[in-house]
Amino acid sequence: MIVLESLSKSYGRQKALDDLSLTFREGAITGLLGPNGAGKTTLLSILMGILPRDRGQVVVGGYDLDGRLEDIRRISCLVPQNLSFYSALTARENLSFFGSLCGLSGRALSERMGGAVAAASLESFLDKRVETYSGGMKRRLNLAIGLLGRPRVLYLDEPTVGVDAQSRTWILETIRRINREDGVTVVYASHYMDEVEQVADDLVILDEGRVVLEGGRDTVLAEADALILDVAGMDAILLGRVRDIGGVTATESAVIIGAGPGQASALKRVLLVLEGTEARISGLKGGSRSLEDLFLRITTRALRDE
Amino acid sequence: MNRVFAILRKEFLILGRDRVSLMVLFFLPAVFILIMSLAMGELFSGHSRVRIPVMVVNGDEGPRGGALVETLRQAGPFEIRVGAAGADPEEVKKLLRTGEIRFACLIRKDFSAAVAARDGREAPGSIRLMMDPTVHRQAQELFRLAVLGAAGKVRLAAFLEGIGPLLDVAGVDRTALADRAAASDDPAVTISYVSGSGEDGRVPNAVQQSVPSWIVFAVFFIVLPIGNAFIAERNQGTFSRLVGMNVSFGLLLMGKTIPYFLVNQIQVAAMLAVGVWIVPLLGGAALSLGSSPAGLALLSASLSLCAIAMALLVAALGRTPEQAGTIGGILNLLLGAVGGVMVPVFVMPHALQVLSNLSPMAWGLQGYLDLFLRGGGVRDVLPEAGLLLACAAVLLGAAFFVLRRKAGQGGVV
Repeated sequence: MIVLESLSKSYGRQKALDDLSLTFREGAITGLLGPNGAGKTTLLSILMGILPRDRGQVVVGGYDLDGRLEDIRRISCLVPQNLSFYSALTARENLSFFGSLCGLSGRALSERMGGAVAAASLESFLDKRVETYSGGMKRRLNLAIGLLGRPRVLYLDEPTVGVDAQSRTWILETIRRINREDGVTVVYASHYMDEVEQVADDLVILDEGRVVLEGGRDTVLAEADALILDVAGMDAILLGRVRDIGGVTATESAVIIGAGPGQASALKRVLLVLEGTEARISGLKGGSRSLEDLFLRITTRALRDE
Repeated sequence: MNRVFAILRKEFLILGRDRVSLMVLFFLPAVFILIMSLAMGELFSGHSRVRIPVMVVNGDEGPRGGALVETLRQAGPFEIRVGAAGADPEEVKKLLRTGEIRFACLIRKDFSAAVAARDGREAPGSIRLMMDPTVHRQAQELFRLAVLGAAGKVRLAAFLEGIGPLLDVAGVDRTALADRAAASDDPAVTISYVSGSGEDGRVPNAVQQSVPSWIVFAVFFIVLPIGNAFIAERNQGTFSRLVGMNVSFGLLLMGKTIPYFLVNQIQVAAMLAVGVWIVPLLGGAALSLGSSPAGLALLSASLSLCAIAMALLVAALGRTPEQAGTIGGILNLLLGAVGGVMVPVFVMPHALQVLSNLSPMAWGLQGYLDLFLRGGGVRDVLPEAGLLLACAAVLLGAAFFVLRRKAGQGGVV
């Protein structure tokens, strides 16, 4: 559905996207994770043709970004991280304005607005100026505006920043619903691992403009379930014996026990092999079924201050 | 068309709810016109009710000092207070320092003797003027010329008295001659105002001269709300969102240009209405709009487009609304100062006069003066309108270029 080939983008000397090749499945919700400055917003802006790329090919819904940009924008929509609407206007006026830009008018516009308002649960506040809204209401309106044009592809950039648990739940449920009912392809960029874990079918982790991990959610989470033993003093013979254990991979300094029903027995066998040898176990990581742990393991804990 | 209408409607709704901007655009210029027209009009009109307090201390031992005081009473917008003959100059200075009086004229005891001197060598300093340094230079000059004129009349009267017998012999009516010399006006001198359509004996009032300046200044204040709105939209990602909805750069710029163009036209109409109807209600002279509505429309439209184009360039260059506000404000003041809005161009040094030719405000001001004071029409304001439109095209092109460049660098519109 969305295919990227060797996509690159730099800001001066800083590479934002570095030879990125990636596919987002049609009809799937893909969680796009990455630390600050990983290139998530840049990628979404390029996909909408808002930002020019340096090189690479982008095809969205069968339309090439070169030459078919208008078609791409017609079928897709970006809900930006910023609250990108007019605070001095009411929700009704905002929805009417953005709906008109989607080419809607008359009855069609009224119907879509009604749907968006119901979905955003803003009925009681429709004629109040948006500047009086709470953070959660503004986020819901931000998303509702994105849904007005009924896009086939929806890009969401940090859609739940700064909202309470109720609005967050509402937003996540709405995203799941439109994906399930309308088959909308969703790319969901976020810092919140738990959200992405809940909502995404596929996961992509970006760091420094590159894909560092991608796959189906269960596959990636299985990676998160793996146990990692930090081991010192393994010689080649011992390494071979450890590697012979099913579901286990090993390096000279680490033994990785894959997730699955046999994980506990594999761990027991590894410990038996290492017992009485010169090898010393200095640490145990993982096994918490935590996407966040996996994310930090992959992207390291170093601060990213953009 | 639906999109254009939606963008225009949105812009009008937002602007209509922005009370601060409306205040800046409509209320402040109108008040400014009222204040400046009334204040300056009173001082410089022929029927001024303003009186500048002046103390005259007549220490003259002869009759000429008294004649000088009487002549001064009839000259200029001065309220003459006569101090005691032996008044201490230090006391007079004290009154000047406190602002109780603005000028003082001290007539020395030998003034009459000096006037009567037959050798033409009058003793220096027989009249001493003191001035409050805070008084405007033009008013100071007005007072100095009034005293010089009064002293000249006193001397002429003394001279006529001196040669009186000779005039009688020559059959000259010396009473009539003396009356004419003492009169505050001279029928031999007439004034007419030359305009494109001929000559006019009516005195141009302060409203005619000040309203064009403040119209031009106010129209360029559009820089502030446009800059604020534009940058706020850009920074919160609304422009990116609109671009992502296939809204073109051109439509975005047009979306700002048309509403603010209409705002500018309403602004001009409101300020003209203040000059025509409100200023007279408060005792000032009414503004006359000249004889060319088409010229007025052409000039106002050109001026507005130039101001909006400048605003869009400032908005394109600025990173924050505060930055745009500062740049726009300073730019307005500079263009206004150089363009003759605050000080007439003809009193500026030559270098500044040349520089003023580069200010769009100077072009607009000249155009309005042509229409209101010189009786000009469309043909007369074509050069100014042409310059303003050309400038608008250049500034708009520059704004477009800067925005495209920023978008390419990741700034996104």
